[in-house]
Amino acid sequence: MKKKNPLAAKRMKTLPLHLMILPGAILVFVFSYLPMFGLVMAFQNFSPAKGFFGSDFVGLANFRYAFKIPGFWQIVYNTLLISILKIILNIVVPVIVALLLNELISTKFKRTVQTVIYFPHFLSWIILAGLFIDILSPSEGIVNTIIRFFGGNPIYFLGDKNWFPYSMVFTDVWKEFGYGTIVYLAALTSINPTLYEAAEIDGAGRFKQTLHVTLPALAPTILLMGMLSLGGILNAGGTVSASGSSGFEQIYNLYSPQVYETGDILETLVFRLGLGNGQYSVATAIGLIKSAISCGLMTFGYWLAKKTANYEIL
Amino acid sequence: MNKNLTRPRKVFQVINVIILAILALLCLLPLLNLLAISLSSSSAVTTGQVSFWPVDFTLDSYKFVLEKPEFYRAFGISVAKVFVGVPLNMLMSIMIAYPLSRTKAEFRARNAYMWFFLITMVFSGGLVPWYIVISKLGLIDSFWALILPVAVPVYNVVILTNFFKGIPKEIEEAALIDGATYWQVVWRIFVPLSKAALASIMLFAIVNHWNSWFEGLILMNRPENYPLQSYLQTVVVNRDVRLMTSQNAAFITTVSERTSRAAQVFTATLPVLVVYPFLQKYFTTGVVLGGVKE
Amino acid sequence: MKKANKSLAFIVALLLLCSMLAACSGGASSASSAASQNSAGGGSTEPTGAVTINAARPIPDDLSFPDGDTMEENIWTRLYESELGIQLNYIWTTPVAQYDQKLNISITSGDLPDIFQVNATQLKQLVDDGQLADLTDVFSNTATAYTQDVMNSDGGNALLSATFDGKLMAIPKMGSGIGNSNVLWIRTDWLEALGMDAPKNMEELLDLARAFTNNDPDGNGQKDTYGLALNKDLWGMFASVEGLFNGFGAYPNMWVEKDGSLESGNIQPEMKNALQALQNLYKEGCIDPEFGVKDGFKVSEDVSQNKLGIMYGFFWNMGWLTDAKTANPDMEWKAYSIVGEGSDAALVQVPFAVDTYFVVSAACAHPEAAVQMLNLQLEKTYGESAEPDKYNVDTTGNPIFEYPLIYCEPPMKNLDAQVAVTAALDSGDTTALNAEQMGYYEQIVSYREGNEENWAACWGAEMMYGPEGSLAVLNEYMNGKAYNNRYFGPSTTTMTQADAVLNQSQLQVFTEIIMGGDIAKFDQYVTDWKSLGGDTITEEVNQWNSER
Repeated sequence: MKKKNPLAAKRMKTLPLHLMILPGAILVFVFSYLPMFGLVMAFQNFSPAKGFFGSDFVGLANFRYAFKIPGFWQIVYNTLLISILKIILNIVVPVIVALLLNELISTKFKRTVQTVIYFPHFLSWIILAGLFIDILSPSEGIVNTIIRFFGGNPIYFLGDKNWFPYSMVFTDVWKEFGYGTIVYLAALTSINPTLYEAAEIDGAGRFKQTLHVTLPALAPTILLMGMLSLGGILNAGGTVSASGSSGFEQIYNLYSPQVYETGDILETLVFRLGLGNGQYSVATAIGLIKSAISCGLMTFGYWLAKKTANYEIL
Repeated sequence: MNKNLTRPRKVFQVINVIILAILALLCLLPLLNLLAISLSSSSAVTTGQVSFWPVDFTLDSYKFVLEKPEFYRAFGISVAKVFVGVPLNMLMSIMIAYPLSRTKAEFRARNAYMWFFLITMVFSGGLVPWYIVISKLGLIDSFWALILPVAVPVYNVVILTNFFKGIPKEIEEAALIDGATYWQVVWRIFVPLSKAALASIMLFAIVNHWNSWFEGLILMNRPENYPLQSYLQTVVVNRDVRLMTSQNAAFITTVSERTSRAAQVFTATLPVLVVYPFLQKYFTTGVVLGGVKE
Repeated sequence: MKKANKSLAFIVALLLLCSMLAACSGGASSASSAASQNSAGGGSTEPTGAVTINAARPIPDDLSFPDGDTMEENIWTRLYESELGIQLNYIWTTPVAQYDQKLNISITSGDLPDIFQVNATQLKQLVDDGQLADLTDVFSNTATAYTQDVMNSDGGNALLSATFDGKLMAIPKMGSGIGNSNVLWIRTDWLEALGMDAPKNMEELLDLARAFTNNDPDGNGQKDTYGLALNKDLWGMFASVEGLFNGFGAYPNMWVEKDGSLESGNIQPEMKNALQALQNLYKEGCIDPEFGVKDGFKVSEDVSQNKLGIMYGFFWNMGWLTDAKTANPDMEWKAYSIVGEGSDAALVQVPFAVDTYFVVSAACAHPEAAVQMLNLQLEKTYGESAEPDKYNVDTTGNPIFEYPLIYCEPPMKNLDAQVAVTAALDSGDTTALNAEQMGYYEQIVSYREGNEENWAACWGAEMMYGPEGSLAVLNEYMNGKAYNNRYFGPSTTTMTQADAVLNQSQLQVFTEIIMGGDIAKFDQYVTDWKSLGGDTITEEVNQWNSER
């Protein structure tokens, strides 16, 4: 009997794997990769009648126009400010809460708190817009009723341009800190208990143990979470999808012209230009700049994550 | 943990419990406020009497909402979306995650595929080309437009891949030597062993399908075909509320825009509230990003 | 056996998925080829007169249908079918707020509806892109004499604004310029309650706004009222403030004449005074601090809930308050002429009458259908055989005129109606009234007799068409108190590109200033406006003016 060709055997073996992955790959190709060819319109004066193949190429004109839009750099600044604050607070708050939760003796209470604070993560920004528009209203909202009760002046959280970016950061932290807390709690439970025992023998109190054992043990996770969020920085927080990011969903549903100056971010600008006004090419050009920078930052983040935390996504 | 706590430890425990309780309340109270508003009469709400408990208890806002055909039609579309979209999401996640969880030696194309999927998390062609592709496929205004473009949840694939990687090789190898196919290995070994991970990505899949609004708004051709969150977007954010039409004059005294909005928002959170407790014990598995290597 | 089943199941699943995708793409192409066959066949050989028109439209906020009727199936679609053999098929509809977005995105895919409406910017884009049908011949051949009359009743300016290189590319939504100018609505029951008189100039008006805010005009012991109503867009629809700006000699969103050349009203120094006045009112609590998120319809709800006492707006704004009048019969409003500073008379701004155009896709096989629909609509609502309470506004005040796909009106019809109705009320002689006017006359008589049936709708008629109605104010404007927009050509090239950015920065800066921002921001706005295409637009506009 002839011996089987080993290569052929190998191909036989991986063919089912290819087949298994194929339907998903097709879907992703159709709905994610095909649209990427449309990026060419950033360099065109796109005309729907002529399509991608017939529209005139205009080089970098769309990019030049984008930079001339009034307040373009202000919008870049807004995007960065809002997302950097979100990244920082979405690490600091969950870490503190996770540490506090970890100190609890009653597991039942711990479980309850976890369940409650994680819940907002699962609500859409539409639902939350409905919620926040109501409770933050200066005339009717419960928050301002409380402020007035304590003798303060009502604050127009969503309509005052000085408050708006911070309202975005705060409401985002409100929604997401429960998620972060769960991540850090999980990391906490995997800390080797002998480390604490050793520290206790050395005479370290609870606080010192936290400082010298817990935090260093958490550091890789903290770094990792921070670096992973770098990629989303130009989305003003959140992950990217076909329909934009959670930063977009939040701000699009909560802002109004009076806070554009401090609340407008790149994605909302892209949306208004592209869909609101039919300036497809300019909108795509800005979207492309954004994607490119995000991609760079994300690569940098992963590289850092790999270097420092030995994290590999592959 | 040591039961005999020192005095400062006891004080700390008490303070800690108080702080965490306040924090939990901060997450809960806004929702309670909304619930209370939806269950109160409009006059009580307008005069600012309602905080966290209904005043002038009435179900009229809910009755009003349920009499709106737009609302329950949209609700139905969203439910259908979850029942069709989530199984497809799960099937895709499993079928992609298994090959991706093989080592490079076992499956040479693995890294190429991985990049193929990962790149889509960062780069997108933008809205207009995306719309054009969907429209050329003839999917505009079709239910499938809400299902197929989001059929592959890449983030969930990554979580599941990492989870599959952690399943001991020995079990699988034994099965393969016995002549099992990959397909059988997936369904007989990997799926049963990954219940926790599957439950948590299912929660994400359900919530994503339930919560998405943008696709509905852009891809549907008439408001009657909007899923619930798209419909709510027009109600809540654009405030397209037509309350005082003569048809529902009966509700004018007890229902206002604010109470009906609260009722609609609250009704839309209900399904998430219902699913949540069943899946909550699997939370941790889902969020640990699978791949933080020790 | 079991093994085989499992792998079979897998393959079937895979095939299903692939074939599903294939089917979807295949389905699309076959559908579109079927559609093209359809239209091609319909154009050349179709003898039966059955024509299907694929249309798109926004759904107005106040639209409602009698039981069982829908956008697709109502008195007007039935009329199109029986009279014209036109089967109207809406391929998409959206709430008004989403219309531009949906239109802009669906334009990109190249699948245009046969007939739809656009704004001036979209018109220019579509014309430049060659996507629209040339209506020149269709219009001159198909339009009835009455239609020609109405469409030319403004001296042809409206049609000119839809004419590019000598070709008529759209049907302008003919309306009235003066009908779109502001009157000043004041709650007279509040005036009486506070023992005050209607304001004669701007200073008195601002005082009145303060009094309405601070002196509890509704007598409920709570400070829950605002003097001046304002919508988030500042302009148009309900509770806009053009009239207040006019009182300061400022003309927003218009072209004014200065030293023989045309300039944008938006950047004139007078704007600053108006903005300052609004800012003062805002700071004094006379404007709802949340106006920035409330559109016209939302503001009308606040008005219904007795929260607002003064509003500038269109003559028909009371039409949105009939339900509020039913709920609160004591609420009284009256329309006044806008007021100027000190003893200066104010000139009210008259915008160009047309801001919406009905267009026909170049791919449509039956462009004449658009003109036929226009003929039918004008005839049935305003022509010889008009049945206004069937096709225009029904007896309960329900706006049936929002049902037809294409709607135009004779520009002066409302102003003429007020004069005729008032004369008939004086003399009791109704012989000179046409069908529509007769309807208003009967409503007013019914209201005055206190008939309960449709009482609030009849009140609305009195508010508009009565001797002291809002249209009387507009008729008064016609005596030299009006300022016409000096530009009425089509959108210029730079307008198409820059208007989006310019309008947004206007809204942003103005809203900010009203809400207490530094008034100096206005100067920055002017500088930006000029550098962002404004100067070029000014050149284009003056070029047009000199060639005229």
